[in-house]
Amino acid sequence: MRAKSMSTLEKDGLKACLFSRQDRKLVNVKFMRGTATVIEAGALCAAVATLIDQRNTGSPSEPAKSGKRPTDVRNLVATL
Amino acid sequence: MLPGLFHMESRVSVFKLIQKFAARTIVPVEVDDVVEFIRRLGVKDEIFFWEADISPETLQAAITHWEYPLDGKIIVVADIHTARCLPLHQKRVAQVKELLHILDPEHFRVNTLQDVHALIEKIILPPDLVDWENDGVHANSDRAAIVHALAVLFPWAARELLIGPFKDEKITLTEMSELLALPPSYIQFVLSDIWVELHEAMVGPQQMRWPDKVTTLKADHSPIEVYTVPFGDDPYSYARKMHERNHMSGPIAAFRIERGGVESTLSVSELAAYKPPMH
Repeated sequence: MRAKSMSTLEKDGLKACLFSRQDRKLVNVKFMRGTATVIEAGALCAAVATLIDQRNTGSPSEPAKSGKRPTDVRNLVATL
Repeated sequence: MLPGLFHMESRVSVFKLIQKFAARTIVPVEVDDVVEFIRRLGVKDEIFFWEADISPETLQAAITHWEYPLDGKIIVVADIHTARCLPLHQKRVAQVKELLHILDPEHFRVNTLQDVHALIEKIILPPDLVDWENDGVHANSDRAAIVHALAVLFPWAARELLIGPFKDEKITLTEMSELLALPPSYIQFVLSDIWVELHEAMVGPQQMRWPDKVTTLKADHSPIEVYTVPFGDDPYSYARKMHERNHMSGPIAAFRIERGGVESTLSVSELAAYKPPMH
């Protein structure tokens, strides 16, 4: 099953969130697709709009940290 | 999947990054480590991480990379967005994948409305409809970045050390997942035979520019002799074979292996235990 193409409304929404501000210019945008087999273009556009909106109104977080102690695989393998 | 798409000739920065991490045996590689190395490549962009309330079934992560004109200068800002509820291990992959796009060359960048539409139309395709040959450079560079991220987060040297014990059932997929802080499905992918081909495709073109070398070292790691590895030979196997056959002289305590410009040092016993990757 193939997802529906983007509607005019969805295209306008993307334009608004990525290209409407005069104080900045988009250099690049890339996405990591969701895990669903079928993803509607509209749902993805809505997700993009949400993340841009939350970026504009929220606070940054920290990069993900593993919380694990560094292990030298060489030493670990020697003990196996 | 076409390994040719992972050749790096036009992506020297990502190549350097993968090469840098390839020799690493200390894991897990942290997202911060990648940020630090991107900085060392000379990238001055501001980098921010954001969490968004979006469904990871629709979108796991994104990068939006901007230029802000300010007082006659241009401030470049990279925003790395991830779905808030993404599991930690998956979030690490997603953030590194998006970070690597900071290094996208000009022709990989998507910055017009038309190109964003085209990218979304390709990205939403289910995996069985992905057409690597015809989907275009924007969609392919987006997908390939996951593979590049895995090459950074599961370094080649760590894979080479772990693959033997894994095949001998001395370490499980779950244990490796905990060790590397990566989802088991990605671990399995990196341990598969296709990874050898993919990794060679990622580092191959540059690897051919200089020969691999083996340097024998004394106990204080000062060099004894340097050997040029015949083209096409695995340098680790070459070193082990030469040592076993007593073709190397001196009080050898260790070996420095230079493979594709990446150095790693092994003791005599570590080299003796080395198992070449299965092709």
